Amino acid sequence: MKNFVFVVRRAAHGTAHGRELAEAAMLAGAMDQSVAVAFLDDGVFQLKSGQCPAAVGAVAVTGPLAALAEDGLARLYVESESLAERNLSAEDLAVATQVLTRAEMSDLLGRADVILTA
Amino acid sequence: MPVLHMVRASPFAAPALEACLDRVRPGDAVLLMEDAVLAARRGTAPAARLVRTAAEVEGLRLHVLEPDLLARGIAAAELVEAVAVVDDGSFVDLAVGYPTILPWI
Repeated sequence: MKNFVFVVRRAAHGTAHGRELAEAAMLAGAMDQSVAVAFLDDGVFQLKSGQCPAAVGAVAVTGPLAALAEDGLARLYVESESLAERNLSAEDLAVATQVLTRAEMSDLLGRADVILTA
Repeated sequence: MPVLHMVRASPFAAPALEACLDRVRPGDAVLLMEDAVLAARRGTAPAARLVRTAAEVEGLRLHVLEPDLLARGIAAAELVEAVAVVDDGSFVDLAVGYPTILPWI
């Protein structure tokens, strides 16, 4: 079993990058790999509550990711500095995630066997 | 001639909004769409920049596209007062109301 970390750095709906990476994470989780999904920079907007992606013909990743985390198939992490720069807090997020400092996030990435980003 | 500036990129990820706001003239309008709507949320550096430029440039109008706000879960109450929300219909009216449109990619 390999330790996968998926790094999401782009905001939701402007591009499909975040969604595609989340889908890859779900696939890896379903294949019994160790999966962490790290949301940093604009990636934190992927988790914001109240999204109505149908308004622009898109889909949200929050529901499937939350299900994956609840089933213990993936761990979700969000960077505190990225939230603060965007005037967001953990209470603004639709999905329960572990908040890490930037330094802790760097450590998480340093422990990965495989890092995937988009 | 007044110019309608259209900004699409997140202000946290690209310098497009800043480059635009450095160049707007009195009477121009700025439309924030796609990821650029993230700039209009209160309490961030890009929002402060929007408010400052709106105060400095006479007659500058700032607009933000409603479907992109809805998609991203941004409520009207989260926005700075300097921006006006436009729906798809008003967006078309806005676009045809300006002789020149400048997209900031």
